[in-house]
Amino acid sequence: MSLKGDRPANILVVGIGNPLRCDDGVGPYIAGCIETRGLSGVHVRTVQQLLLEDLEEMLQYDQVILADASVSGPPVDFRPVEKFSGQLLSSSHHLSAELFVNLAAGVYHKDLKLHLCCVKGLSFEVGDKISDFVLQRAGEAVDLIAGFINNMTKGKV
Amino acid sequence: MDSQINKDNTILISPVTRIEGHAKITIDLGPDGSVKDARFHVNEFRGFEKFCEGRYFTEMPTITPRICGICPVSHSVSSAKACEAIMGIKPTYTGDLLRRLIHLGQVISSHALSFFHLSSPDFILGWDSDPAVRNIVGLAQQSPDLALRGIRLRKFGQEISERITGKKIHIMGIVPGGVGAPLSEENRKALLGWIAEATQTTLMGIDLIKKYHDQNKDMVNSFANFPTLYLGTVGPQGEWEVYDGKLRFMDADGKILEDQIDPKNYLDYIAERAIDWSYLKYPYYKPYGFEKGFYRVGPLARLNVSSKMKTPKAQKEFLNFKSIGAGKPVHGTFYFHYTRLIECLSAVEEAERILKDPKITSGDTQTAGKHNYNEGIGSSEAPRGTLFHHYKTDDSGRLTNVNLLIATGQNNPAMNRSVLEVAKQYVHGKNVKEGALNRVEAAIRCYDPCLSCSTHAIGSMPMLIEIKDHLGRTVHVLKRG
Repeated sequence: MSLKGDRPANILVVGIGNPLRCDDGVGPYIAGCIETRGLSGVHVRTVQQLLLEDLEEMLQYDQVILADASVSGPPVDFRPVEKFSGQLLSSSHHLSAELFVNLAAGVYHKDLKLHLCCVKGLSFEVGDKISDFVLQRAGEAVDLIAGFINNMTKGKV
Repeated sequence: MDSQINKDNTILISPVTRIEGHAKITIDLGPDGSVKDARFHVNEFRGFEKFCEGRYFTEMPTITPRICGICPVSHSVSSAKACEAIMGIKPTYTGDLLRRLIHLGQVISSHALSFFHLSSPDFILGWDSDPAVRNIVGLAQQSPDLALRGIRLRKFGQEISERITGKKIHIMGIVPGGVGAPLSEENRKALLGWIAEATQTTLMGIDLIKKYHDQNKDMVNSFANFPTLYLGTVGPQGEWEVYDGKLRFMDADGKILEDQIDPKNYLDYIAERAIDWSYLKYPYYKPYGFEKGFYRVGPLARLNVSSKMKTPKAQKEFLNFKSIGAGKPVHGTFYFHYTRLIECLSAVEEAERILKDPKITSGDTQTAGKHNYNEGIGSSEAPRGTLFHHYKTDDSGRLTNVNLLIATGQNNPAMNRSVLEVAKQYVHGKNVKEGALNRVEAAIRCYDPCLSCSTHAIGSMPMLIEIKDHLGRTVHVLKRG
């Protein structure tokens, strides 16, 4: 997706996670780093978990980027979220990113532009310290997100 | 939910979808293939209480909401009350009213999520429908208006919290002595603007579940229908009261065993016993002992123990609910859904009344205080049931002991019994259809358990159902998540 012309970028970065669950706090940490960079047109929020009603707010943005911890997969993963046709897990406490794209289409008849940036966590025990290894990967994730936003605002994405 | 039959001829269902935490159901078959036993296991570790030790007690209303993203308000409210007991203070009138309003908002949002998005797909799309579409997305395709209304009802509940505290979840505004900031007139009007829609949506949900009851009487009345004791908080006249009530225990025949018990005395009436196959303890009503003293909490329990509702529309539905049991408690687990909606309706009505209180926008929102006592207990009715926060401190106010007694933990024995009852009804032998196992899961969903709270652990709620033959071999496995 590209943003061309005079209209300023309108991008939402959401850091997801519980800062009292060690590496689960990496999502809010990444969001905080993005906010510190002061990128034009970028709005930042942190939440412990995605909530269904957040979708209405997300649909007001040209692009939404979720930053979250993962329990498996590569150390850092940054990818677009597409509609999903298989079984979607949803609980009162856990919603998948794909569910939001599907619901945007199914309930609001809109196309949600969503990217997900995951950093694999090592420890999810009770505690407020993110492990050093994960903090390093979080730095890479911040660079990836910032680079993506810069390219998008220059019309290169 | 994935299902598989293992090489060693056993059944496993995993994970229980649409509830929280990490759980497993095992179903044990007898030699003839009938269900002999079933258990709901919770496999997470409980560590939050230990983490809080050593912190200054007034930090707790902002730390404990981090336990759970769905019922953070109940944790914050119970925590603030425990802190007030330690300080020996009471909140101001307006501070108390605003906390009550936030708490009702959480009841609305939590119940809306449970009914419209987690449970109604079973009623509307069918128990045996394709599990790939039997969810909120499938509901959106089949009944887009209902799905959207459910989302907006939830949004209203969350917006109450956001407009008072500035946050939807993990609120920072509830403090010992009241709330941190007043409600503006602009926000009061904005919240009042939601009432008509919220009422209409809740009534639509009530119509939906009552029609389902009418069309499926046998199923509804036989679904995990077994007698237990009940616990809930009530007001001075026995009225439904989720924010600041006193404990009432009721037996299976409707006899009130204890009434108007101050929650600070909860340990005189409730004991817990650890079991070897779950991280959840088994709480019970102390005077009756283990097993005989098992009780239920949550919407069904609250309406069973209550003598009346406080608002007219909810009272009308309450009378209808009471007629089901003909004056006795309603034991059918399926009625959790109906009672959840009656509570939601009452919460919307009460929220309107509070928003029209002339003092709701007063700036007098907090009583000041300091550390005066070394122990405090706070309680409220979380959406899933009675919640207790119990703190002990040293002379400097640092916490030396924290005990959190959570609703889902209290429903643990009943959830196990429910799984067994439904499994006996729908599972016969190892070749079980997905729809039958969905009903077993649905028994758990009736309680809408929050395993994050009860085990105080992180989790995306994977779920496993195992069916084991009479020799203990797993013959079938279903897995979600």
